[in-house]
This record gives sequence, structure tokens and C-alpha cells, in this order.
Amino acid sequence: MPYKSSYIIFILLYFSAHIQLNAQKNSYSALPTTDFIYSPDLLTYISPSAQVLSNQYMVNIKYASYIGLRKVMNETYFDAWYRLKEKKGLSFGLQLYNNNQGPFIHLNNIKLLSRYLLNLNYKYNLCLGMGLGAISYNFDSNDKNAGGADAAPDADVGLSIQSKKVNAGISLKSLIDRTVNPIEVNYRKNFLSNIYFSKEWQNNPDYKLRTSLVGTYFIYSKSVTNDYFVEAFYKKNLKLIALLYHYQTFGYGFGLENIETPIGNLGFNLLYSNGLGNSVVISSERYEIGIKYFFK
Amino acid sequence: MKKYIHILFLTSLIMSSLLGYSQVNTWQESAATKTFEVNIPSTLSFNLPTADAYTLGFFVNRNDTLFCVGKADLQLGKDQKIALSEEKTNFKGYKNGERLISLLQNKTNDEVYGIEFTFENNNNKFQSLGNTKITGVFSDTWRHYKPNLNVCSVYNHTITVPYGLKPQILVSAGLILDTSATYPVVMLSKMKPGNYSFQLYSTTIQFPFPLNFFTLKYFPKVETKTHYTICLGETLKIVSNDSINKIFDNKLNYANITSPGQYAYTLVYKDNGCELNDTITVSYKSNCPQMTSPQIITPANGDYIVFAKQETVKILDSKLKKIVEIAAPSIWKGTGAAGETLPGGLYYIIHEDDSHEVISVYH
Repeated sequence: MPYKSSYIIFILLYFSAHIQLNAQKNSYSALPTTDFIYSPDLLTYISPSAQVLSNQYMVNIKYASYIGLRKVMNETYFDAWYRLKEKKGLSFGLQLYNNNQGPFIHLNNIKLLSRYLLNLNYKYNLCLGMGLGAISYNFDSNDKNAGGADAAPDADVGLSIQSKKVNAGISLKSLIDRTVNPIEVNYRKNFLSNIYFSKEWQNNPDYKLRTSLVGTYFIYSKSVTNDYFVEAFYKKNLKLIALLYHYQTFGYGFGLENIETPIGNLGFNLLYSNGLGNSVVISSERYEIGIKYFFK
Repeated sequence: MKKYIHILFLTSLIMSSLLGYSQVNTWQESAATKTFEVNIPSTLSFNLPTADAYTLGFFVNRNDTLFCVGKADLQLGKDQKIALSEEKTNFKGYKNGERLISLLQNKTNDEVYGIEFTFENNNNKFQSLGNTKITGVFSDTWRHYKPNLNVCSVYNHTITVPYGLKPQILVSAGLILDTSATYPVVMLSKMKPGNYSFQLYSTTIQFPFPLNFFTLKYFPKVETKTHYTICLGETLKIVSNDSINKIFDNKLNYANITSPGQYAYTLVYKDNGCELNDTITVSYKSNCPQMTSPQIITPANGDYIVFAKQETVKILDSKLKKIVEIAAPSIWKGTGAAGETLPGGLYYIIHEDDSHEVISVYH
């Protein structure tokens, strides 16, 4: 029965996306989208229901920027969760996101998060998550132009099925269809749907493999991007290597997970990628640094 | 007594000088066989100095003596041919490559005037054997030779005394005359402003207006530069101690010079209000900065980026998607391939040499 419920919710979310799509026929400019690689470090960004909360509190910080031509762009992400009850039930969180498109143009997003975890059986949990907040787009003033800023409400929903080794789900981001108009141009939020699937593989007690796939469907532009991620762990903690593919970009990285400290478990990740632009051969080296902490 | 001896001496010196410039002309035609003709069309306008009848003769110069190689009474308004003698042994005549000298003799009083014609296919000089046709009058000795009053030109003034005549030219103080060329030249460009005169004198040729006065108001201080270079996006400013106005492009439209081409302008001199019309050529500099580098442009406010170098520039959006390629030198007004205004945001400019710029486009 719980499986049936989840299928129904999946189908409803998809239908919702298509209804939104058909409603949007006007011409707008798109707000900048993230260049973050959809790695397991960004589960809450992918979907408000996706993060597995092993502890009562958790904090996750991520910073990304480029080397060379695109060094003027950077992104910073933060989320934090507080779980009310042990391992199930209601949790609340906060999500902050900043995207600097050069020194003068900034996209900011703040959301209050909530999620509810339901035990389906001894193996699977169903998690429904939601984020409500606002998005703002700012053009700094300068000596020739007054610039401008505008904000609009924003909302995400997500549904996940989680087990010890599997984490899968779907989300809809920017559900509330409002545009921002900071400089006499209508910028529309990127209404998109993420589908993700992550699975751990372990045949040896010392080694573990985790494969992840995130498919993103941009509903207005009807375009799709996929992120693939393969991580190899040693002794459950040391991430030996992470291989990734993210929109014409290949990368690799390493990190640590669940390092026990007196007050909780610490995780650290570093990713490096170097991809090609769409039509011009330009170095697009990018690095991402992430720290995740699960408090006891 | 001693004083009179001095005057007598000086007078004789001047006279000898004047005589030295006097050419003898003989109107007795050469006995050599006439082998070619000069055709005088009925439509030719002579504007003769008097209403008298005239004889037109063609001459060659032998040791400052002009020998007639052919002549005829002038028949105004009628087609006329004058046969000319070719140089032969013991006979004076026209030699191949020689330039004809033309004189007119008043049949009433025998006064002689000089005239220079233009000839068919040979501009103003007949210089080869064979029949030819007169097409016009280039100069004569019964005209004024002075430049216009109040000379403003930086150009020198040529005194177009008919070819072959060598009158003495007496000049006022400060007037610089160059007699080394075919025609004597008053070197206005080397003279100071002021009043000048020159006088033409010949014992054999009539100059009804021998005295020519003129006032030189301007002399060039600095030669005006004729070639300028600019970078794309610049407006040429011609720097001059004098004022410049009325700059026109090659279609005579009033122009601010922002692109290569040839332009006409009028230079007004502060000292005297004289105007000089001249042309300048403008081309792009070879060492222009690659582009102007604002960090932000607002196309709606008329902002644009100048790409001064000859190259292909690529504009990419923040995701490195190519938006448009621009053949520079050119300007970019924040538009896409179809000329549409791009949404505000971050864009990258990639030059051919792989250098790049980051630009924020506002609205």
C-alpha cells in the first residue's frame, strides 16, 4: 500500500509539472541556474526530501567557483536540518543559496524546509519534503545605472524513498510561478523537475561503491541534463575517488565521510571538474568544496 | 658731374639687363617645304586684345630668336589651316619634339602679342610632327597675371606667360619668384603677408597689363596634416591653432569623423578670416587597444563595447553558450545574432588571441 501511495504521488508531481509547462507560453528570460554538480553532498538542494538524516542535527556548506575565465562566478550553498523525533517523523530546516554572476549580479534564495519521514516497512522509508521561501535577483547600482532588485516567493516539493542502500525520488523546484523584474526584464524562475537515484554497492567489508544519477528536466525549455556520480569508499569513511559527469563536464574528487568526532560526524568533499563550453573551446575548470556535519 | 656718371652707368646697366630678356622675332616664313598643318576650328574663341585684324604665326626658338615656321591672317569664325615647315638643312623649321611658340601680330600697328594654345591629344603643347588641331587658348599676354586680391591660398601662383616667351619680370621687395620651371612661379608659401607687385616687360611682345598688384593675407605657418588615424569608437579631433569647421564626408554631408575615409574641411584662419578648403584621409590605427573595457554596459542607455582590432569576437553567455560572433572592428550593443537585445546578465567576450573579458549587461 505505501508503494502505491508513492507511485500516485510521483504521477501527480509529473502531471503538475506538465500543467505548469502548458500554462507558460509567454517569452521570458531565464534566471541563472546553478552550476553545482548534483552530488550526494547536495541532496537537499536536489530535493527537500532527499537528505538522509542520520543524526538529529546536521549542517551542510558548499562553495564552488571556477578557475580562469569564469572565476568571477561563484556559488555558496548552506542547509541545516533539525529532526524532532528519533529517525522518523517531522524535521525542519533552513536552506540558503547565493549565486554571484560576476561582481554585480547576484541571485539569492532562502527557504524554510520541512519534511516528514514515514516508515513503510523495516527496509524502506517514504519521505515527503517541502521548501517555502523567496528568491531574489539583484543588479548592483553603478555610476551609470541604478541597478535593481526584485524578489518572488519560491517553493519546492519532493518525494523520496530511502533505504540503507538506496535513495531515490523526485522533486519539483520553483513550483510557484512568479517572475522577478529587477531591471525592466522579466526573469522567470527555472521551473524544473529532478529525478534522482542513488545506490550503494558493497561486496567487500572494506570497500563500498555508490552510484548516483540525477536527471533534471527544465520544464519551460523542455531540456534535460544528467549528472552521473560514482564514488568509491574505503573503510566506509575515506572517499578514494569520485568520478562525475555533469553537463559536458567530467570531473573527479576525493573526500571523507562520517569521520567521528566528539560532537558528531564530519564529512569533507573536494571536487574538481574541467569541461568544455557549448561551442567554444574554453577552459572551464571548476572546484567545489563541501563540509557536512551531523551533530550528535 | 660724378653723380650723372653714376646715373648714366646704372641706366645703361638696367637697359642692358632689359635687352637681355628681349627676344627677337622674325615673321618671315621659313623657305622649307611645309609638311604638316595646324587646324584652327571656327569655334575657337580668341578674345583678342583689340578689334583689329591679326596674323597668327607659329615660331621656333633658335638662340633667343623666334623664327616663323608658318603663318596666316586670322579668319575669326572660320575653320582655318596653317601649314608649317619642317626643319631642313640650311632652313629653319619645326623639329620633331619641339614645342611651338605662337604669336599674334596686329595688322594695323604691327604690335605683337603672345598666345599659347592647347592642342588636340597634347594638352597645351604641340610636340610632335603631324597634323594637329587647336582645342583652346591656354594663356595670352593681354590678360592680368596677378592672383586674386587678398590671397589666402597656401598654394603658389603660376604666371602663365605663353610658352617660349621670356619677358623680364620686375618684382617688388619680398616677392619670391622661381623662374626655373616652364612658367615663372610666385612662391606665396614662402612670403610674408603684405602688398606685392610684379611687372612683365618685353621689348618685342605686348603686355597690356604689365603691372600686377596683389595683397597676400596669409602665409602658412605649419603645413596642415593630411592623414589622420583613429581607433574604432573614437571621434577625430583635428587640432589646429586656427579654427576648423565644416567637415564633410565624401558625400558632402556634415560629419563627425568616426570612421576611415576621405573628408573635406574648411580651415578658417584666426588672423584674417581666410578660409582654406582641403581634404584629409582617415584610417584606422594599427595599434588600437583591443577593446574598451567597461565592466557594465546598459544597451538601453546607448552603451556599447568597441572592438577596435580586426578579428572575430565571440560573445558567450554565463554558461559558455555562444550567443553571437562579431566581425571586428565593430561595436557590440548587447545584442544577439538576430539583433535582439539580450537579457541582462553575465557575458563573456572571447578574442581571437584567446584573451577574454567579462561583461555585465544591464537594462
